[in-house]
Amino acid sequence: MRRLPVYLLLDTSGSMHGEPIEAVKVGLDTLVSALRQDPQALESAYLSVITFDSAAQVLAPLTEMGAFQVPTIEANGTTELGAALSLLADRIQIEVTKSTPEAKGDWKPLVFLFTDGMPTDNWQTGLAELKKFTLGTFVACAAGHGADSALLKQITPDVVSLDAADAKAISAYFKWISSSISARSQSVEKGQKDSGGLSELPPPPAEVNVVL
Amino acid sequence: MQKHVYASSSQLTTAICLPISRLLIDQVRISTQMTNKPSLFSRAAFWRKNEDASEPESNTPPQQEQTPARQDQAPIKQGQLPIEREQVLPKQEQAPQSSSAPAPVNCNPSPAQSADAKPPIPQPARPSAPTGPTASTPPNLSPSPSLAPKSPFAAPTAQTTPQVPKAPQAPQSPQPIATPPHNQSQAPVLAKLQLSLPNAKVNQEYLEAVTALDTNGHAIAIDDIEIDAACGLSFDPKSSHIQGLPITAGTVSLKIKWTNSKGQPFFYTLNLIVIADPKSLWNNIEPPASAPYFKKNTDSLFISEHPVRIAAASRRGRSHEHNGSFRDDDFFIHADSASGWSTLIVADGAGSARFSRRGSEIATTEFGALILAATTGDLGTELTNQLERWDESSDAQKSISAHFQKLFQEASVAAIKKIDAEAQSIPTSAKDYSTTLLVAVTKRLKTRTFIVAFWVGDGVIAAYGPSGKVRVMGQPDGGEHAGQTVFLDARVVMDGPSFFKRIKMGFFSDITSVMLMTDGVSDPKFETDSELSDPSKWDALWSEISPLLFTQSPEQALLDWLEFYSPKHHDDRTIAVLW
Repeated sequence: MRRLPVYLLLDTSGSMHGEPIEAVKVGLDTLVSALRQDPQALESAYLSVITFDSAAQVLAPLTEMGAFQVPTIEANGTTELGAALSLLADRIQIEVTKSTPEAKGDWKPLVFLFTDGMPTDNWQTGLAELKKFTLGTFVACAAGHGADSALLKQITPDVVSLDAADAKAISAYFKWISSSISARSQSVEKGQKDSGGLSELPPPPAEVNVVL
Repeated sequence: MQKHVYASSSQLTTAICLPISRLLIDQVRISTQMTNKPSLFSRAAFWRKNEDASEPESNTPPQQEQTPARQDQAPIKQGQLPIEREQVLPKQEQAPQSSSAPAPVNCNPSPAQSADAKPPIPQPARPSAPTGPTASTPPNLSPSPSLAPKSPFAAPTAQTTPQVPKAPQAPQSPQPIATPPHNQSQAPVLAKLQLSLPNAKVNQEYLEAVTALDTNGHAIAIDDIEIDAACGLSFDPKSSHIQGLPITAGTVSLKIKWTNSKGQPFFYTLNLIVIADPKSLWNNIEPPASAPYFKKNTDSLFISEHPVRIAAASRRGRSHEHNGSFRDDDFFIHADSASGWSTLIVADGAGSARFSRRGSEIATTEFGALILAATTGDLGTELTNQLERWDESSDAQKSISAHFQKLFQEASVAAIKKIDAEAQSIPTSAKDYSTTLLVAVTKRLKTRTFIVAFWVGDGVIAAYGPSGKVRVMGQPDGGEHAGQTVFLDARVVMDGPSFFKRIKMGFFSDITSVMLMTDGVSDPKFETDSELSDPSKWDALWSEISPLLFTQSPEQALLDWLEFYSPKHHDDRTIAVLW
């Protein structure tokens, strides 16, 4: 049975402390609640949460929506984005199944990144490792003016930005992630092509600016 | 108010006779519910003054108690039983006050000492609220079990007790002042636990061991878990398991109760998630009546032209029902009694193509009409003559082959032209009408069945029979990373060699049935392409379908059967069967 792997990469650095990280927590709770009520997401979507601050960690390994439980998140430390990309590459290697003649593999993973600041490590190395894998759609979100969309554009062509890392904008971003996962769950069940970028996702809300 | 405390004088005496240190410690007792309780000392004084009284009466609470009392109001709401408030023992604040009260019994600590005694025991780190453990950081008590590797809390121990203002410093682990009868009367304290429970599913048996660790990592034995009986789950303290059959999706609140080695009661609330049955979450929304190219959600047909029987059924899939869009599949079946030639066609409009329901309709209709023209009347008779000479020479076979190659080529061109014209009339791209197409033309001659198939896209065409044997008349388009398939378009027609590979012929004995189906049926019934050639899978499918064919209305029976639930397979479903 083909699964739709979804990875959330969340910045939990010190600057996220307070309103931003609380908004992320609420956003994640809402996202999980919504997907638990979506029959196609329940059947197809598998979710993983990776956070990065002074190190990158897998808070939740790739888990089917029915079994998924929201991990506890807190914010402090630096912003090791490269470590996160590298960890993501490792996880995809381990968790995502490739197709064989005997069995169809998983769909190409969806990745949603969220960061409010500049990376504090060598992100290019992490990116190089990630490039070995084919992703379905990789959306990077630059929240507030501490984050650099141009830098994120070097990581993935699909970049969005939030004017500020506040509750309203972050909530909108997570709602959009949720409806994107729902939409992809639907289209993979119809047997449609693996996702190819922002254009195949539902249009983002007003708070989420597409960076051209 | 103090109805239940010190029901007998002997209890009070026993309490009083405890060692000094324990009394001091007990001043920092679990006291979230403490409001108007006299301290041990004031009670002792009272007792001494009222030796003849049969029962101690309540003291009017001194002023100092008011502040902590108010602060205690909030914690009460978090589930502690109000009754127990009355049963808690000495209040710290009273100590200084009653320091002047002389101890009636030898082992009573001198109040003056108690006031001065500030054992230099460092307070452990704890949440800021001075009263009630429940006042500590509500976010910590998040409903979901805490699985995070980094614990964000400098968590108090399971034996945490509240700081009481004005209390002299006291060690953190209180010794119980009370003898066993008083244990039950202590109010349970809210404290964190390390515990995770997997999600439950509606209508699925749930049986999980509850193994919990306190925040020091020590295993605790759970006394009870309060669960709303209506949710279908219950806790068995003997086995320490939660079990049952949840019936409603949502969150179930678990109030976990335990006592530590010193008999102090604690509790922790946790939310258990119950996941809905995906089947119950599907909507069924009608497609817009005003949309172009309206197509019915279901279609079915039964043809009986002895000895030929053909039934076909087509049904909108759950995912289209869920989002209120049209069925994109279509079919065409025909049996000509004069010529004996039959035609079966199924088509699957591309999900991403907005008018593919029209594309599948055009393709099936065009092919149907042209095939009829080429297999009936004189042409039909000629074909039959060729067929009768099948074994004699390869010329007959080549002639038949050429006949159908030409036919399918012409039909493809006709269908594509018609779609192009339709697209231009909008105007839009012909890609909006993309569809697959599976065709079988067949005739029974004596003991054998002739079948010629034309195959574009996914799904399957098969000549099945006898039991244990199947001939798959081609192969599905689409790779291992399928999500993609091939549709009937100019590219397919122009690619000469590969076009002809799509046409397969056979003249087989003992054919039970010819079956065509779109991938909405073949995907759930054959998980992989290689399973398509597994005869046992076909035997299984035939045993499922054949009873339906021998009913009064086989087409209706097939239509009903197409409603079967198969997780992740919610595409439109179409099947055409000749038997």
